Amino acid sequence: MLLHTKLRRRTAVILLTAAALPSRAQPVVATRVIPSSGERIPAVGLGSWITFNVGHDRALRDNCIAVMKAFFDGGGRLIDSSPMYGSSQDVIGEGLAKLSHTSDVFAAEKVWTGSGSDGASQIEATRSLWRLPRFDLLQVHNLLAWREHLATLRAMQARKGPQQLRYIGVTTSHGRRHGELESILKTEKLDFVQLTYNPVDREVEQRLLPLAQERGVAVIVNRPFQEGDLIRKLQRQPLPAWAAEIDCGSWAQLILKFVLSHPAVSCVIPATTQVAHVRQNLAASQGQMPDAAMRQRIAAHITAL
Amino acid sequence: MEESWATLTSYRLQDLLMFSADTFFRLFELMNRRWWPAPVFGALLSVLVLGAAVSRQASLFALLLLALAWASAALFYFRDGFAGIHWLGPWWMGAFLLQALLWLVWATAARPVFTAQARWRAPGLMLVLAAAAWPALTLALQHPPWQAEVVGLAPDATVLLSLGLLLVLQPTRRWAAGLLVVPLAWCVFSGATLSAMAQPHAWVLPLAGSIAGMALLFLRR
Repeated sequence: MLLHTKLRRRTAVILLTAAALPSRAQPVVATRVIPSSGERIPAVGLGSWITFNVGHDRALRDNCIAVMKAFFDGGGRLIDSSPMYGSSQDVIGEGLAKLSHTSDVFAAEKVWTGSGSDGASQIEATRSLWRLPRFDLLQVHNLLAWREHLATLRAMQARKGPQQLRYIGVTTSHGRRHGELESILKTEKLDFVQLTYNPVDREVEQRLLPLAQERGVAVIVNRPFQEGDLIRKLQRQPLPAWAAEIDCGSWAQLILKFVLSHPAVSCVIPATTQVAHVRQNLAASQGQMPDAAMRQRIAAHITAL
Repeated sequence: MEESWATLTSYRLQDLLMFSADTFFRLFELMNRRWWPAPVFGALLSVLVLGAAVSRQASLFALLLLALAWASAALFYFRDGFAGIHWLGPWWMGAFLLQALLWLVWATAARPVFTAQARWRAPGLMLVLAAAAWPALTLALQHPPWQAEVVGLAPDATVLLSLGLLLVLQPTRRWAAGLLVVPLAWCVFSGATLSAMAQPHAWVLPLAGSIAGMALLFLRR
């Protein structure tokens, strides 16, 4: 009876999610609401730190483009990058052009310069690398000169026309500058905040995630796998049998479901160089999500390993 | 202020690494394939320098070859490869070109010669030999042979050769101070990069740089 109920619930979730998506022949990827606008975005995005910084290496660039193709084919939309990420922006731009996805990508970029007056020119240089008319989301990277850059981004948001910026945000990573981030969340009107969250890096649960929820700020989660370190440590261990209860077939999916099951999280952006992993990551947005007790179980189990 | 200090001290070397080890070592493969047979000439260059140092002849010729090696590493490696994955690539290219010029200036202005009495001759020859044998490292690391790091193309091998040659030629302290800036800076940068990638040979260049720096700047009669 319990299994039947679970299957019915799972089917209902999948059907409801499918109904919310535009009618394209794409697999279903669960979506989340951006609180400030009501727009829905797929819950699993694609990060590009290190993985897309491949320079002029043709073979590695083609591999990145294959990853992007699998990502879009699987229903993904949000791709995140930064001027800090070397050649990643150019690789993404090449991929978008070759795959003809310049119109449906949710382009999330960052401004990363200590000089507030250089922000606009850096953003323009970034835009030309992506080969897009505009970005959907611009974020102040690691809070660098955030006051000046938020002012620039607000001005871009206010400007009407085809190049109008839709969303603004700020980012941190590795658990750094959380005190400052909390102050910013309390005082500034933002659409997005990006931070690090996973079963072993849970500090944001205490204040930042509830605050983001309270303030109506969408949360993008970076480093769900600690740049692969967490997965590498866990791969030596067998996946617990109870992972199947929440439709997890891998450690990566278990971690992503932990992240996505927090009610404040809008999107998680794992980075990968493997097509198979992109598909696994996207699939983590579907099916049964852990409840509060299962979330604690996941965190305790992974922390103990 | 407290949070700024905490933030600063929280960074590990790995946090500053912008690329994967696979991408990094493939730079050498792409360069060797693209510029073939330049790696052969690079290997020959290192053997010629070793021969000059052992036979204590043709010091000017050896320094001209060294200048050529630094200039070619600047163009083939930094401009065409490393600059694509690291924002410091163009700066290192400039530094290596400057160093190539410095070798020429020193060669023509000071006219250093090999002497049997050079105090650090033996360690210097060992470093020159290590540089000539550096391509064999790729086998020890179980990398494809195309990823061999050769003098005149790969900066590590080029810097190692240079440190060895400096020990053998033993410049005055003043010349040494000028000639060591870029090589020692590279030893630190390369050691840190390789360490962040958990490479087993990350210690080699920092150690070679430390020995050369101490010998040429401080442990002098």
